[in-house]
Amino acid sequence: MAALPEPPPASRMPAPAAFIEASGLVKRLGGLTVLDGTSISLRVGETLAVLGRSGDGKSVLLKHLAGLMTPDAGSVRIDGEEIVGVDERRLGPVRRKFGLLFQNGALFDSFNVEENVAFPLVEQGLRPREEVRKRVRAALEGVGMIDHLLKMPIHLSGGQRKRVALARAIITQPRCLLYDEPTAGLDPIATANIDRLIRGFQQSHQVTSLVITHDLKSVERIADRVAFLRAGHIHYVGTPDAFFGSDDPILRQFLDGRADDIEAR
Amino acid sequence: MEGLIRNFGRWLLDRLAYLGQLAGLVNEIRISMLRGRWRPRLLGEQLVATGFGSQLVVIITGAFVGAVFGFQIYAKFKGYALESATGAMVSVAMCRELGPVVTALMVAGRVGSSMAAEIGTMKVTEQIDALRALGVHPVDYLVTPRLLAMMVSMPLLIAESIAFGILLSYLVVVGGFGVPVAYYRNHTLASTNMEDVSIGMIKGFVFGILIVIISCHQGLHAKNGAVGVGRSTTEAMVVSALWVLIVNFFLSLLLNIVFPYGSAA
Repeated sequence: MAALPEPPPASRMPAPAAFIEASGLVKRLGGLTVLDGTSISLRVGETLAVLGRSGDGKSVLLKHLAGLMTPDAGSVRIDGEEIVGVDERRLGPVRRKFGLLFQNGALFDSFNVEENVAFPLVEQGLRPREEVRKRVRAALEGVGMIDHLLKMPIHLSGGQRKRVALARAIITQPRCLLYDEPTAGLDPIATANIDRLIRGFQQSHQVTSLVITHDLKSVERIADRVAFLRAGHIHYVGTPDAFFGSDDPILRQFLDGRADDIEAR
Repeated sequence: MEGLIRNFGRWLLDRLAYLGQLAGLVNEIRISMLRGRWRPRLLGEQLVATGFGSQLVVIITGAFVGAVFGFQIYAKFKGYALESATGAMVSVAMCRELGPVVTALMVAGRVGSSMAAEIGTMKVTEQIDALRALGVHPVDYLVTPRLLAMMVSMPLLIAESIAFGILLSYLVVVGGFGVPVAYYRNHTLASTNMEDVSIGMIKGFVFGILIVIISCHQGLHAKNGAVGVGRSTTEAMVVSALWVLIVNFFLSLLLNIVFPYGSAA
């Protein structure tokens, strides 16, 4: 029997093909099973759009992938590292590998736009202050918010808040970005602008992205793959073309926007 | 009967869970103080908000509690021709009980509720999740600076409250009712010693810690939007006030063992 080859040293180990690998996630909230054995994989460099009906657990899934919620069962590996059961304080370095864009931006109320975007750099101890300011200005320039430097979040529109939140998410140049409904509640033009920023950043930095969305036009514009979450399971994973052309009755109802058959429910 | 037992059991479990959460928070604060990053700017902001900002309220409260207490003691003691001992009574009572308790109740109302409201709003608007996603531990950033600021501010606020209570009582009793200055002052100085002052400071220090832990815990566990934040704010104030009054009793017994009456005479 031939001897097994020696494993390569840690520094020469190939990077895992999946940046995020979640398997068998189970989460019960308030007596409801929101995630019921959900498994999903986010490949390095791709943009995966996760769709599903409201209340089917998309945001809960995203919070599990980011380590912000702990599953009742299952595993989440980020860049090959298991994060379930790891102490919150030890998650810091893992979390710095990705940026997270929250549904409502989650900008800090007490900081102005410039301070919000500078926050990750300041917390990571970047000095001097001039360097921080330069990078903040470049990030805000990139999302078209340079003229709003001193505004407080309360004085921004929904789209502007998301653009500032995007600048905050990308300023540390993370390897992965997680977006929670980045275009929800925006007009079509603001939606297109956000989509262009997401696609642009993905192409310029080869960043791995996962986008939770309801917006089918956004999926067409930004996604490499599509996953459809239903009742706590991943019901479908495939390319956008196959997704839009699918004759699966559940996907068709979602794609055609047909109302539920109330009598059948 | 069965329902009664079940309800009592549920109530008891809820209380135990609450105490468990408080113990968990205390442990996180301990870790944060030992290993967390120090943030002088945040500490400075909290010193201003907690200590400097509370001065007027605390001075007015302490002054009028001292004045009314002085008046009542004078009115009663006059019947026994002991009115010159009023200063001694006011001074010892302000140092040992009234100053620390009244100040703590005012600080619980002003600062504790504000902490719960601010942190609670951050919780329900996902700003705390944003902190965690950026690799910043919420206890390090939100709780520890507030606790340190309170530990510094509270003894100073209590000292102010005591001083103004004694001063206004002096003005009322000596200035208003003509008790001889020399008798009043001599009795006050002879009856009040460093132990009395130390008791006030120690109590203030303990009450400050209680208020911050209870209020921050309420904020960190806020849920259900604006209604939940309102509830947390009220609970922070009520629970802090109750704990201050209950702990004050046991602390008085304990400190009376450490600093018995007449030990320094």
